[in-house]
Order: sequence, then C-alpha cells, then structure tokens
Amino acid sequence: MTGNENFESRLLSELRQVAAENPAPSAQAARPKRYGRFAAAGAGLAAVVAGVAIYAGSGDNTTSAYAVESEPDGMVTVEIKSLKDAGGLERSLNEAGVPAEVNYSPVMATICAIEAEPGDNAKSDEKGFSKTSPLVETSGTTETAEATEALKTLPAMPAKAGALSETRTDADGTTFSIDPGTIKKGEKLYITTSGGGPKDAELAAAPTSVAISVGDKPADEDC
Amino acid sequence: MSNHDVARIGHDPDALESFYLDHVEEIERFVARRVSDPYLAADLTGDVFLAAIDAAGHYRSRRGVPRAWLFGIARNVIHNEFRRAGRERDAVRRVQGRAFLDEDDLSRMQERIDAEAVARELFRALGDLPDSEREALELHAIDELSPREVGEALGISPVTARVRLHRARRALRQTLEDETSTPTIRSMEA
Repeated sequence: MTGNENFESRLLSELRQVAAENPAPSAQAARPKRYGRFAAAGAGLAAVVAGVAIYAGSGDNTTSAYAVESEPDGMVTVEIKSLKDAGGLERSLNEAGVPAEVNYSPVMATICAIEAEPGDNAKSDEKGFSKTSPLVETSGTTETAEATEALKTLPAMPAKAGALSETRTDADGTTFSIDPGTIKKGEKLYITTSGGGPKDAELAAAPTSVAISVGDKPADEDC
Repeated sequence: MSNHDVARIGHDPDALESFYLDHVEEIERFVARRVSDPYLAADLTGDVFLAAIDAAGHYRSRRGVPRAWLFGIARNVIHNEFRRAGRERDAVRRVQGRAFLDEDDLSRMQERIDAEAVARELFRALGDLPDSEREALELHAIDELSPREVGEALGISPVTARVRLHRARRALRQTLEDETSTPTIRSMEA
C-alpha cells in the first residue's frame, strides 16, 4: 500500500503488518491463565466431593477430572487430568459447542481415529490428523495413580489441521484445543481410551491412555 | 464483523482490516473531539488500533459488543495520553500515526478537529462532574453510544450506566443554568 493513498490506508497497512507478526494464540499460550484459575479454585476443590462439577464464575466447567474452557479466540481448550467422569466431560464439551463423545470404556482394545477432512481454514502444509500415535503400553492396574501416570506419558499427537491443536501432556494431564467451527455437521470429537487389549482383564479399571480425534463415528471394523 | 472475529484481529491481518474499516472513522472523530492537534490525533488513532490488536485476545463477547469494547479502549488510550502529557511527551510510539499524514490528510484531520470544536467545548463544561458520571455522559451524548454500550465500554451494568447518565444530566443542567446554553448542550438533555 503505497502511492496516492491517504492516512487511513497507510495506517491500516502498518497495522496489518503488526497483526501479521503476532503469533496466533495457541492452547499453550492460554495455559497460564487457566492454571491461575485452577489455583484460585484450589481451596474450593479440596472441599468438594470428587466428580461434582464446579461452576466457576466465568462459566468454565471444571471438575477434578477435566476442565473445559472457551477461549476468547473461539477455541475450546480441554484438559484431561484423569480418566474419570466421561459423561461429565461429554456434557461440558457439548455445552461449549463441541459435539463430543467421550468413552473411557476399558473394553476397547484399539482406537481408531477417523481422519477428518481439513477445515476451511486449514493450512495445506499441516499434517492431517489420522491414526493416533502409538500409545503407551502399561501393564494394567487398578490403581488410579497408575492411570494418571500413563496419561502423563501420552505422546504428543499431530494436530488435525484447523480443528485440533497439538495435544500437550505434562504432570497435570493432557491438554488440547479444538475449534468448534471446524467440526462439520455429523462429525464429533471422539475421546476414547485404549489399552493392552480386551484380554487384559485388569485393564477394566485402568485405561492406559486416551485417543482424541474428530470425524465420523469410528467404525469397529476399521479397528 | 461477528463477535467471534474480534479475537482474530490480534493476529489475522484480514480480520483486522475489516474491523479497522468498520471503525476507523468513528475512532478518528472520537479522537478529534478530545485533542486539537492533528499530529497527536493521528498518533492516537494509531494507538487505539494498536491497543485493540494487543487486547484482542482478551475480548469477551459477553462483556460487550465490539464497538463498545473499542470505545472503551479508545477512552483508555486518550486518558493515558492526558495523564502522561508533559512528562512523557516524547515517549517512543511503536507506530507513529503522524508519519502517515500527508498535506491532504492534515487538512482533512484539521477539518475534523474544527468540526468537533463544540464537542471539545462541551468537554470543558463537563469538567466539574464526578469522573464516573462525566465519562458516561461523554460516551453517550458526545460519542453517541447507547446506554447499554456505555455500560459495556465502562465495565458497568446498563442500569448503573443509566443512573450515572441521569445524575450527570441533572448536574450538568444545574451547572449550565448559570451559563449560556448552547444547542448541543440542550440536545444532550433530550
């Protein structure tokens, strides 16, 4: 923008450049804020029976097992801290505008993540999100602590272009963001567990890891 | 522009452009009602949009429509400018709005500033009101925000905004009874 343009267009040109140099907000950038909120709610959490939803003033749906927060940029950030209360997480996601199905059922031997079409705003150079990463093998155990431990070692997954951010896993659990606008009609966010296999009876109480995908319902025969 | 897009203006030049084109004129007028130096007005116009770019990530639609949000920012930018005037006059700006002014822009800017002379007079008349009431009345009567938008720009409820507007009008009427009333001031009481 040069030449016979006026002040407004020259200023716009400069401002466009400023905006272009700013990185798009990511789930990672949003983390400190969210943790601040958790810290503030900490005292309350201790006094509340596990599994009861705590409704923060900001409208976040938070339990000790998971957190769902709508970000200002329209993304929804999900943190899974332990593999409990699948129904609650599912409801919270639905309330946040993300059609979701959460299944922590231990009988699923393998997880199929259905490859979804990249969203409209997908960048062509981004890797499609298809099969989930190889998941952590653990010998099944009924200890919840073990399950949480397994969750911690979940490898980062590639992001589905435009819809899912990369998943991040640390001592507090697994976190990812999703843009509800990129989920097509009929598609859902699937959060499912996987483990060593149905023969592993003990797996029932200790899913070893979680798979996250967007798409049509995973078909059993593909697994 | 939908509320959802406002969050994008911080990092998406196209979203920013559409937002800027929607609002740049009223922000220029907003500034012209408050400063009489065209160079400073150009700087401040740039500052308002820069601040909006920086704050976009914190925009929450439930706190107000984009217009009210932007006016809230503009108000802070002007307020900070007045506060620091004199001591940090030469502070380095990230974007020097005045650098983009040419001769034509300058006379256009000056015309705009002249056109808002009555409004600036009115600001001086408002000087005796308590800050909270003066700010509400400024945004409503001078910048033509609805009472609801005034509330959103100031971070107060619509009811509180209406109460402040009512008090401000009453106090202003009292003050003006001693002075010559102007058409603009009468319209504020409507």
